[in-house]
Amino acid sequence: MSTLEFVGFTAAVLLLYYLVPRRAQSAVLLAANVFYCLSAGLLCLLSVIGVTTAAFCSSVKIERAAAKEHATPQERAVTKEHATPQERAVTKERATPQERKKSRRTLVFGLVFTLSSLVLVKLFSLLESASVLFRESEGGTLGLAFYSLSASGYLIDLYRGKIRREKSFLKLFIFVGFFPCIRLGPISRYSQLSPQLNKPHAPVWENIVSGAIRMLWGYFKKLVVADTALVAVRAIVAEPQKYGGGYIFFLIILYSVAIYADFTGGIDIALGASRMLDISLAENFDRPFSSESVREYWKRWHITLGAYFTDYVFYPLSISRPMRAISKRLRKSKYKKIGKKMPVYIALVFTWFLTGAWHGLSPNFILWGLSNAAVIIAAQELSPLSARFHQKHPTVNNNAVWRLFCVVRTFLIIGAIRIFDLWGNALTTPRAIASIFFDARGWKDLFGGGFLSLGLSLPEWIALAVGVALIFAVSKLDFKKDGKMRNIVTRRPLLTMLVIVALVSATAIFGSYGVGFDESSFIYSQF
Amino acid sequence: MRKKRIFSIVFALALLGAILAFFSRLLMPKHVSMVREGALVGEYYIEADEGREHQILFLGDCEAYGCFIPAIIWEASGLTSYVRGSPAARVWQSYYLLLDTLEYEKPDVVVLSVFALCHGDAQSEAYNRLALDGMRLSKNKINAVKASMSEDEILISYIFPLLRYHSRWSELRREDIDYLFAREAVSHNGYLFESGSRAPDTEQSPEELFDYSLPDRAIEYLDKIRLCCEERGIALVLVKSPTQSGHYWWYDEWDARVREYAERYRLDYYNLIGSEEIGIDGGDYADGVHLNFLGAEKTSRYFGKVLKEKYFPSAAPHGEETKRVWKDKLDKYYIERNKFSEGEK
Repeated sequence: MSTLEFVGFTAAVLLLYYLVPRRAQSAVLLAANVFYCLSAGLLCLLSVIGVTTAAFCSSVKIERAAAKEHATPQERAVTKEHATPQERAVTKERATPQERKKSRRTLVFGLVFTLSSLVLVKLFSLLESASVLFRESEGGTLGLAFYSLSASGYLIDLYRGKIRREKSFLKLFIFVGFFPCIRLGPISRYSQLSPQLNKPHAPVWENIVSGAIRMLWGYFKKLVVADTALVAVRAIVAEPQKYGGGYIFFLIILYSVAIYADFTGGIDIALGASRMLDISLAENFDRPFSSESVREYWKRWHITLGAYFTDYVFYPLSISRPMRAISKRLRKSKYKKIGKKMPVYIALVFTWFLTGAWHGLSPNFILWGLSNAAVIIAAQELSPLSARFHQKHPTVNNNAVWRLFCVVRTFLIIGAIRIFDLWGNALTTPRAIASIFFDARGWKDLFGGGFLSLGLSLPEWIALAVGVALIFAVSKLDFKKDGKMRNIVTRRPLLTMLVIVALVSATAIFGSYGVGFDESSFIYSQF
Repeated sequence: MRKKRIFSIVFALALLGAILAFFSRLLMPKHVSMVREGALVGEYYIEADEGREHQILFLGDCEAYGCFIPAIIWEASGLTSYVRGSPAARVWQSYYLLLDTLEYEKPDVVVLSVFALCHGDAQSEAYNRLALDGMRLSKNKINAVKASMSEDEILISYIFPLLRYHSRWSELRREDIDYLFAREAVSHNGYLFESGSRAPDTEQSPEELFDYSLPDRAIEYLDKIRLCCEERGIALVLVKSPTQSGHYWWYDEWDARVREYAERYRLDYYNLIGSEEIGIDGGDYADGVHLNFLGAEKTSRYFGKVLKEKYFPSAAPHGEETKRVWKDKLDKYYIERNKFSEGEK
């Protein structure tokens, strides 16, 4: 769906959603999901149906196993009153070790079943270019990396006894394939999203206008900033031999801006569309570029993916029996010091390996993931040094210059690691980064006006800079959280409408779309 | 609160409409100093809005707007005419331009340049734009767009051209401001002045083709043009302009097919290639392919007389107002012609 088609589609869904009787709203969402998937191709629809079916079928056994494993006598007493005869039967007694093993096996089987298509697609994507800039359109596998994680999260939560099984296949389909977040996420938790999808909603002016503004703001970020910056990014990436030194430093900044505007723009569109339907999705960003450390950054960037891997991979792995055994053995040996940390570090490396693999199975993405793990572990290992430094200079932590230094340092480290995305050959990135320090010609050329040879004219660079400044200013105003700014805007109808007019006009005039652009393609939708 | 909201929505829609309309006008290419061909289709409405009607309507591609000079036809034969052509215009575009013209007037004769009959697909998005952007928004324009669009084009960008030309904001020129609200016509009733002088390469032989049939789609729209003219009692004349050069070769096989079609439906078909009465020579070509004004003048004088004899042997004399208007047109044409001639000296 192109930008205009998606806007028109959302408007049509919105109209129907509030016009039909409240009990039929779920049917509208169901139809919207089917239509949206079909617009990306029959394969996309079949894929969503396949993942939902896998999750639905697995959930029956997992629920039964979970009920046995997790129910305490007290819980059983509470739930007994409301439980069905079948549930009563399975919660009769606490699970034995064999049953626990069996229930875990059921979960693993369910997860394999649910995630198999994602793994297959990742394997097939090895045949394509590993650069995010030169991949074919995501086509039939649109959003698979997002909704299959939502579905698997549902199974794990069910296994952990946090939620009850969804007994309606169609309701589960509405959750898995909820159209605003199918392409880019956020990765939704069943406990948070499903109750909202199944309850009736009345049209509320504030929701509709704030959702519309958020959607338009997303399009502004995507079309005016991200897609414009990507023109220059592509020019540099296409000729790594020609553009070295300063160009690579510039690329780090430019690609950070592009991917931030692209991804947050896409998420704003999803959250805005949902908000108009009176459905709140989880926030996926919390001003990540204000982070003072890499670890903090990853808590603020793609929050739902980070939370998924933390909750479902990192924590379970770090406290798993093998990890505890390793820790125990090390603590008894001469490596006592490292014994405590080892399970965490192994879990961290594995989690980042998986995160890299989620982006793509090619070496550049794996290296990207492992580089992040290495930086986080290095920071952890150097923390005593840092602590000593701050003990000596206790005021430095509150010093604005020091904090700015930390923010810039984090931005550059993350940016440098991120350009692994850009070249299919994983060795090109380290070479390019090294050229920052050794290629004086590139610096000279860049400051001699070379940036004008990157496909953007001076007015376009200026517009890009203004767009970036606007994004920075708005993120400072913290419009997302139900703060003052949003209330000021949405409670004044004229001001609301002026903001909408300004966003539509600016995007229509300065946006990069039309002939030669594929404005419907997002960088993250290729992962 | 409800009233406030409704007022805000109405106000916002009006403001948005005004902003987008202004920027659309500002950012659309003006076709005054560069790619002037893009102005041709839209300039017709200057005539139409003044209520001027024409006895002859020429339709086609560069062979129409580069070969027939309405001012010279008037001078030589006393016939009023207009050329609705655009670069690489396809037959379906000519068909919808005919329907569009019929909304404003009913000519006695429609002359269709047949070279476009050898094409079954649009040349490119850019050429579609030259032919269609100038059309006023109407059912005919929408149908013309639908018939012309390639896969990667979208209809809405023809209705709201800002969606197509928005990226010009960074390359605005002085003329975009100067001609924002008003502009002079660049053509002479659809004829675009060509002044160069380069003879065609006579060494270059035509390329051999795999298939010499005319595309079904082109014939389908030729049928539509014919039926449209028949229904309204308009005479349809087919013409091949006198140009002939390597890449723009009019093959004998094509000629035979058009001749056969004309005979079947009792239409007049004039192939002017090599016509001794016109006397086109190397000096009459602008760029080795298209005629310059000298060649166009020769063709117009000759063909105007042909049309006069055949279709207007006893036409009533024009009124004083028409004569005054056409005298002005002729003067304007000669002013441009003389400007060029002086420049050459």
